[in-house]
Amino acid sequence: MRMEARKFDTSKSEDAQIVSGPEKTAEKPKSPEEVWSEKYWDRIKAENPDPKNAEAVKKDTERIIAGQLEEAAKKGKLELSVLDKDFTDLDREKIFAYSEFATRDKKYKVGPFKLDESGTKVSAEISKERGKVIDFLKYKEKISDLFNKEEKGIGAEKAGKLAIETAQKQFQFWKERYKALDLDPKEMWAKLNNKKILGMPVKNLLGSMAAGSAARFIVRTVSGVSGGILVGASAGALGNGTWEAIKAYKKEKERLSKMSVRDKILERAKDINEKNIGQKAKVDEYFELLEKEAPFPDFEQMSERRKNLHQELLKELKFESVKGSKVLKGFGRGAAVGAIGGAFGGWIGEHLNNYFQGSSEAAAAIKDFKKSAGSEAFSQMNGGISDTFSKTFEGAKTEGLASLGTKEFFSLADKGDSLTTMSRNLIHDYISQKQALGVEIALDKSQLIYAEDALKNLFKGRALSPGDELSLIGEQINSAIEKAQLLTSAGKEHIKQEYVSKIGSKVWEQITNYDSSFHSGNNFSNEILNSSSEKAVTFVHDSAQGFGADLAQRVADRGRNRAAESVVEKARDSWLESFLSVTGAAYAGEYGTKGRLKEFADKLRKRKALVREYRHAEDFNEGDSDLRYVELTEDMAIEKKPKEKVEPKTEPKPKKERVEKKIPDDQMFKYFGEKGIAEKFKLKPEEIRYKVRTPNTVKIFPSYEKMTRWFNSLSQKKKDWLIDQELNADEPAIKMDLPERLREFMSASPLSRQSFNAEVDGLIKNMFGFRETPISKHHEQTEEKSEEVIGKLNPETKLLEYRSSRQETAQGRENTAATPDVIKLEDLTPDDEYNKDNSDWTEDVFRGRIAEESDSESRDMKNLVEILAEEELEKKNNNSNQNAA
Amino acid sequence: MPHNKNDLAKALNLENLTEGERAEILAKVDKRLEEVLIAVLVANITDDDAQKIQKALHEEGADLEEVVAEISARIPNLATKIERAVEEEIMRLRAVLVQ
Repeated sequence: MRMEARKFDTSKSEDAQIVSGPEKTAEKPKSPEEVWSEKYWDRIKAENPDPKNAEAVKKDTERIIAGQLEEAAKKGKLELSVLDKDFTDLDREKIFAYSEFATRDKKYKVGPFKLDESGTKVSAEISKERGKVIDFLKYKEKISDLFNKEEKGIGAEKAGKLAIETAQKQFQFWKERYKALDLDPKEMWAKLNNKKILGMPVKNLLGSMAAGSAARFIVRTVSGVSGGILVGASAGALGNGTWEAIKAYKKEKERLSKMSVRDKILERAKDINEKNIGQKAKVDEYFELLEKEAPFPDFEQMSERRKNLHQELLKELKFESVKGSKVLKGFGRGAAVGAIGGAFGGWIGEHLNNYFQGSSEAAAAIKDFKKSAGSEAFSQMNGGISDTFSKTFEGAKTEGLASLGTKEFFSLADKGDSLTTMSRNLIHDYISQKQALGVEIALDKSQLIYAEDALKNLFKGRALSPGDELSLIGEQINSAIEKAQLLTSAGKEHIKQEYVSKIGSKVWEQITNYDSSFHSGNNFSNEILNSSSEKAVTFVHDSAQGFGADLAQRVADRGRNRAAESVVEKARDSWLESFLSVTGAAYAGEYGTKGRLKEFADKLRKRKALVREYRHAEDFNEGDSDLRYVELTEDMAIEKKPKEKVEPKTEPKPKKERVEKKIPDDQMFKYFGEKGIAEKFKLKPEEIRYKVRTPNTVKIFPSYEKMTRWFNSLSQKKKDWLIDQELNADEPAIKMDLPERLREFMSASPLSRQSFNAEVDGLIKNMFGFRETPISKHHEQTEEKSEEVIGKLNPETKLLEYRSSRQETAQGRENTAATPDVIKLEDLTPDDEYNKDNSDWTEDVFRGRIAEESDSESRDMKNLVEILAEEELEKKNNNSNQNAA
Repeated sequence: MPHNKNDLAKALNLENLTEGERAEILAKVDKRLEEVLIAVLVANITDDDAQKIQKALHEEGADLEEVVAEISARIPNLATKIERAVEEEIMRLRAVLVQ
């Protein structure tokens, strides 16, 4: 008897009826599939009379079937053996039980079953993909051939026809997905179908793409045969995907606004045009001009390697070598493949997802392909969506950034590595990740050395062999960095003189290049950014706002000469056709020109994508041993916690004789000397004096050192009072008396004043035993917030006030009222010696002031300094946070 | 291809030149556009990619075309970038040559 292929379409009740006839129940009619399926399960029960046993067997069976379905879904095909080609009842029971269980309980999509030619098996398409399942059955063989790496192409026309049929179905599927965006897939398809690319209808192009090497490349990777180009194609797709497009939108706006400024060559080209010379001479002059200019923006910032490559490739082109031609060919092919990923990736991805299940890499690539389907949607979005995206993205990124402290950073030991090297690598990678997420950590060389030394101590005593991997959590690394940031200028100078030069310039170059992490496992920023963008994309898609016209295109159109544009486009197309015909690859980039965003290279994303392989600097050992080479005195590394109120120590004398001879002890005189101000204004050390207001007098000191010594000799209560006055009173307790010529200069020069303020502030805080605010930060804050008052000449006192004004508070007013009249400069004589007995500052006066302050602020004097110190610390933390933000 | 060259010649206002002059300028323009392509490639690859291409350039038997294809396929929206770079260059050339 001739065997006929019979089909069981479980989605159609008629098929089941043919086999079995409908069975009805009085109350609730069951479908034939359900009836057959129930029979299967009833039989299991019947074979196991003990109800408990039956239930257990049923569960086991379900578990086994679930496993089989999962495997089948991976292959996209569910195969079941049958006892007879004409199907026995047992066959029917089994088929429908599997089908019912798959669709009802496991939410698979199962297509119609088909008997194979041997008559021993039936098979059906199965997929776990949500939404509509495309019935590939009728295309199965042909499309399989199309994507079979062993098969030859089936020809552009045929492939195009198949591709279109499938894609049309796919667009219907997309319709549901992009419902919120109010897209009409048919309209999209019509645009695509009507569009011609270089004179070739898109459908033909699509066909040649599908039949060509690109599709097979993809399939090969999906089946795990090769890598590379699929990843490339998916990257291309991602580049064209929604979230990239949203980011690109902003970039493009910026680019267009800057274009006229940047493109000076265009201006100079116009100048050449105006010259009364022949066309050939104009072209020659233009090319001469180009030779003097950078080949493209950012060329100068590029690495030497890429610059060299550029030169080499230009040389190949110049001599019209075979290699040059190969480069251009490869480049064109790559562009075309990338364009497939971008423009048609949605379709290809969907198709592959339904048809193939491959490696996780392929799954990820397909996911990216799917995103690309949103690129057309984006062209219909308005600016509002961009903001929605940005906010969501930034929010998610901030969360990710916060999690960096809990991440485990690794460093892999290479031959000759020391614990210091390991610490250095960890610091490098931590900073690189922070910077990749937009938080700049600026450590100079001295600070880096200090940080790595501090971190190294965490591994103290640990033996190290090549291949060992050490790890620390981000918070530990951050802590070392923070300590380094608190180094005093003296401490930094010390390290600079003693240790920085011991590390080679090549090593420094690598240490301070934060483009990517040394250890690939530390590339957390990539994951954070991807996850942030994923969240943002999801949010944007879900937001279902009314998306308007394509703003980016409007921006792009603005200011352009349309007539000129059309001519340019024509010329461009003709030239590109020539180029692409050489490469033998179709140019798919034209897809959706009018709606497409013009994306610039996203340097940041590219940077994230690059995970520099772990490599080690060859000369890392230079000046690099496990010896503790950073020897700092306490005051160089001001790590004192405010609560501990560590008594400040005097600055160590500089080691270099030269400095010692030229600059006397006084810190401010040193400062003026270093800045060249002392020389410029012929400043003498005795012209700098420090004035300290006590409750009943003003003390004058000829140097910072002497003032510090005096301060240290005070009782704790007096110190506390002074600190409070300095930090909180309307009028600071400590002032500097400078000669008038210098005061005038300071008043006139904001920058000098700013620097001066920071220096004095640091010294005073140092004297108080506070941690010093990094000068750079201090500059920004003080100048920005208090420019009006800070560092200005006080007309009443004729003294230079270096610190920011305080807000007038009740306490401040009280303090002012209780403060003795401001002493005029002329009333002060050098005889108001600093070392006079402090008896005039009596305990009674002192206590009186404490009582006033305690009443007004309800503060316990004992804790005053601690509170102040905590506030100071908090302020710094806030500043750090703000900087981070 | 001749008709493409003619289009380009038209766009660049070279039609009134002698055939020899036109061919000479077009050859230079062609070369220039190829340079633009190289610039696009180099501007969009990583240092590691540059190393791979360099290696393929100097290594006997290396499939240079394949290496470049694979690398350039990874560049997001490369086709767009080529298009833009070529477009800008032609705009400049027109600025030089078209009154």
